[in-house]
Amino acid sequence: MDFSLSEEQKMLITSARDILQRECPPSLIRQVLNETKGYSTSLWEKMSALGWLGLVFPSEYNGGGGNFMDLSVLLQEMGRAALPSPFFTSVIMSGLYILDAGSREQKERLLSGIASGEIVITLAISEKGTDDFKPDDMKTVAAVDQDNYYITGTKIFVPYADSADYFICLARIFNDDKDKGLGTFVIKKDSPGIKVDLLKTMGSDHYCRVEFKETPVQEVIGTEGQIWHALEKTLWKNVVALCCDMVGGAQKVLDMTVEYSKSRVQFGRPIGSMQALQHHCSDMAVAIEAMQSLTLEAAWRVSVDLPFYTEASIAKSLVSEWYPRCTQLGMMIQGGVSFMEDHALPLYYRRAKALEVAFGNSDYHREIIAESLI
Amino acid sequence: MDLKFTREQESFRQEVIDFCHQNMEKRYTPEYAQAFREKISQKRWPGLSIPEKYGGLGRGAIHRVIFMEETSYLRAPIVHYDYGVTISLLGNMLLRHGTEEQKREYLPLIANGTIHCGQGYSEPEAGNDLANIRTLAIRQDDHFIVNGQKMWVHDARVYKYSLIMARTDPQSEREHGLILLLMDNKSQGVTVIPQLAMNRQFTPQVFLDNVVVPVSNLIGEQGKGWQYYNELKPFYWNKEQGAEIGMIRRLFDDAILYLKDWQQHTTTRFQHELIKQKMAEAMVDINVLRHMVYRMAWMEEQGIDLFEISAKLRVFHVETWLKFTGILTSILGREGILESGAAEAALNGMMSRLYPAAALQLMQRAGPSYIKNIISTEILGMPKPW
Repeated sequence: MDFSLSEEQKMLITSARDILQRECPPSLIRQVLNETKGYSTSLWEKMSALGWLGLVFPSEYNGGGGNFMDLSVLLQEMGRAALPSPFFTSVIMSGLYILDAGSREQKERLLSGIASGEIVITLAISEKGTDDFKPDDMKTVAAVDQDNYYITGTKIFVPYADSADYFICLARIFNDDKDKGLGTFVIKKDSPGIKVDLLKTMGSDHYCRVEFKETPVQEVIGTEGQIWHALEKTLWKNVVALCCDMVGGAQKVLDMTVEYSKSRVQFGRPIGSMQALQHHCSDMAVAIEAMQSLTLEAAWRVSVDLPFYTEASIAKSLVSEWYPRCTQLGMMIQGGVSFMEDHALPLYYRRAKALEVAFGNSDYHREIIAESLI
Repeated sequence: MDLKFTREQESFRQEVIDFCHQNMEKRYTPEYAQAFREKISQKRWPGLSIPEKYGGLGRGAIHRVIFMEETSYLRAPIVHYDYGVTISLLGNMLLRHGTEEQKREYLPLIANGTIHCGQGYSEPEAGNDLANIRTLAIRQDDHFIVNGQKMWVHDARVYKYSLIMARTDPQSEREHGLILLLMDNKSQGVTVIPQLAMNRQFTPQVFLDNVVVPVSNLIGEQGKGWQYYNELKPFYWNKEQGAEIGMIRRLFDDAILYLKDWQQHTTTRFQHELIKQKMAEAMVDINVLRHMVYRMAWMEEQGIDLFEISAKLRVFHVETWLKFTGILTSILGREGILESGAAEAALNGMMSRLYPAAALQLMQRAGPSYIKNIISTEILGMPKPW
């Protein structure tokens, strides 16, 4: 048994932390969140130059040949910096899906493009009133005409759809059992019949609504009717990835809070010397330890190709509760200054809640856990 | 014991509701809001608990709470804080310690909503530890010269006055030698720097540079500022009681309506049950809050000491509000974090605004940790940790 990280992983942590501290300060985040794209293109280019975007792609596709454990430590650093970027939708959801379900040619073309930062692909799956993990209710359809598919339907919560180069759209081809009869289709941006609207959130998600009206597809990924297994697995990997981001963010919040409590003097002493605050901080520290344990366990299982869905639910259920709670305890301890927008904490406060509700909150995942017990 | 409202209180409640329905418009504009507030001023409802001889309506604290609750529930375009802070701090301060002249000059203007007064207490080094204040107000003949820096002086940008707590004796320490001054925000030497907060409001920092405040604006006696502040802590902690319950009740009712419909989209029966349980829990908390708010108002009318109930109410309110906004945002999922504008936004984007804004409760007016210390030491009599 070995709980240690590899030397490369440790180096990745140090370098990512340094780079993001410099390149992704809160002032930059505030700036990009207000801009049309919602993320920094120049930082994205740097990330690709550093090999971060291709980290888990095999080298033959321009990737670094890393595994999910490597990715998980990088994601923690991104969460620590509260980095807003299309990493989840492009690298993880689209990239890992293509890696699993795409043809060799597609992998060569699309994965290299993602890794080099040349293209951003966003996954369009959610619809009004549907559960991402249960596509039975999905209404977007792919109709066949001549030799091509045409997509009609409305997708919501599609990240960065207003600037992405491609969509991978989940649509129903034929009315068959639940998750059969589905296909995944690559659609180029600005194709006919597409309308994209920004769905502003209180977080940094840059969600969009994408309406497709008889939109022609560029290509199909995977075999029609047989894509769900691979797509589902990708979504679950994204759950684990989100947990990594949330753990990194919670740790940063604790670090900020402890730092503040050591220097802030009231009643003639640093407030960090007060018992109630110490207990809050130690509750956070223990919770972070727990969150990290569960998250790394799930990530490890992904990296060695063991079943991991239950472990992903276990991790997400805990981080969904504790990351927001850490931001609240942190804000209570840091007081009024941390409520101001020029402080970093509001970014984490909102982001924590937005990530809590993405891909299932605690209740959702506890139900899955409970089901697995019966 | 009789927990029914009197017929008079019930009919006043209906009067407020009717007034709102008659005068509220569907779309908010600054002009409509201004006109609405002027009508409220004409009715002198901000002066519900101010004695008639000082221009108020002399009807009592319960009426004041009813007014705040119903206007808040209906989302009338008034800023409850404007009235809350002015009445609870300046109004009460003048009633207890103002000169007859001061009462006759300012109370009628508070009662008809003409003037508002924010609190100028906190400083960068004096947050929970308010006794650490450094702002100096040195007496010179018929005025004070004030120098210092105040924080969280909402809303010095638009209110006429701020109630400044300052040190009049430079040799004094901590709670000694403090005074309360009613300062005109437009005085020379006052610089107001607004800062954007997570509740999307601008909260001003105020810099005071040789500001001249006439002695006639001193409230009460020199050196007793801390004593006065202490007396009014219950009001300081709970400035907009009534408005707060109106708000939470309205959010709860809106949520129930939305969720009844939304249950069609809830994907599992388990989620249903859980949502029902959580809303039921929230209802229990709201009932506690409402009871305590009205009990405190009744106690105020009876002249009973409010210290204990207001400390407990403050803690209960903070924890309830944070818990409820957190749980509701979570229940609503991604639709809950959408801002208003998108058709998909749950409750018209309310939680994307309220969830972050609720965090203000964590530190405003002494955070819950500090008040829990007070409950432990001053109410339960446990030994002080320092």
